[in-house]
Amino acid sequence: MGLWFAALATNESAHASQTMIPYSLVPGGCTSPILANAQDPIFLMGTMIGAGQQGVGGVTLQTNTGDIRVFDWAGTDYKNGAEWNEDFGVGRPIMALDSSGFVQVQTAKPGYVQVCNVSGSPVAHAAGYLTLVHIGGQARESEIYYRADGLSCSAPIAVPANNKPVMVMGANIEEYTGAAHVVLRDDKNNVLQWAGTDAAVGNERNSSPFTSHIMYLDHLKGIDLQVATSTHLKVCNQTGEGTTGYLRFLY
Amino acid sequence: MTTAKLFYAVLINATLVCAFTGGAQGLTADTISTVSYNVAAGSCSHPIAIPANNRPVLTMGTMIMYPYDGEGIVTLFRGNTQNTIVWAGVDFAAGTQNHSSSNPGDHLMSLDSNGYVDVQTAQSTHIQVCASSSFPLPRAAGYLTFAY
Repeated sequence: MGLWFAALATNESAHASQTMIPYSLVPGGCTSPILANAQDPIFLMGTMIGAGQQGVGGVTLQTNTGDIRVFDWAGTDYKNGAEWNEDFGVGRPIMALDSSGFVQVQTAKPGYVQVCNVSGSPVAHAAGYLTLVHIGGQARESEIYYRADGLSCSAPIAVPANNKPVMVMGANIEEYTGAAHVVLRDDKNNVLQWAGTDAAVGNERNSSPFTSHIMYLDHLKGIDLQVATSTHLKVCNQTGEGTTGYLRFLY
Repeated sequence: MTTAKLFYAVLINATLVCAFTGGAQGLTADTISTVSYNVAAGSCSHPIAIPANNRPVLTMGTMIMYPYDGEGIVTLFRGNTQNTIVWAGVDFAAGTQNHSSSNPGDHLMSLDSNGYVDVQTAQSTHIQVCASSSFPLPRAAGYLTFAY
């Protein structure tokens, strides 16, 4: 009987949209630039599978190709734990894919990333996979374009599933840029809970039934994803200028 | 052909075609899956297969039994060269989680708010959800979702 109750009760599957890219790099080599969606947030995750140097990482990334041309990201990797930053340059490390930091996802030209083996010689053959999780309008994915005037909040945004984990990726695309993700859930006790990483403070985890900070969508703590109600979110703009961006849900 | 078989067939094909040094080619796959669990305190779920070898798998989970409810998210992969699971992410109970293991029964991330219910490594590079014998409630239940 105990085993019966320990069984997995349900099993669902559906479609999300990913692009998976295998790589194989000699020391000093980089992949060709890999297109990452401009402005909209994507989740970028990768592995380095070479024996002895294995690693993994995942970040939410925004690549703004407008006037600002900046990369913003927040996430975690095996090598360093929390990773969050912004950069305007080319060849800047975003996250490590191996256990020693020799195999990196880097910024490339605006809107693109690359995987590089910067080891010189310790990692003679770096190989693995890079997956870009984006939203393709499939079931169990959704995207919200938000707009918030200065010192105001967006309209309430519904959390798309109860109790099940919901990944929220966010990116603000105006002057105050940023990228972040959390996984959150709500429950019958009318509480939202979350855990994740943003580009302003790193790890974010808490729970609240009413107006409360969840994660920042920029580096300057000006654009804030908040609890609106136990079932809805809102984006609050604490700056004096209007702002826009995207929230993407995967669940 | 099932969606899963089709996925793996496309994947193997594309991996053979797309292996490269210094180039980038895309492969589009479409898979997200969710399993639910319901385990008694002091027990574990049956082993859960990680849905892809060597590829990064976004794994997020919840434990929904109030007042110990919580959640976590990691990117993990199951390496087939050393039978190792490697992961990095964040959970509600403890924050950053980044580690690797080749042994069953190692903590991967917590799913509740206090660290009583966790995802663990299991035999044959599977994972399992376990509720500690000190978990104050009779049962722990929730969901795991994989995107890969």
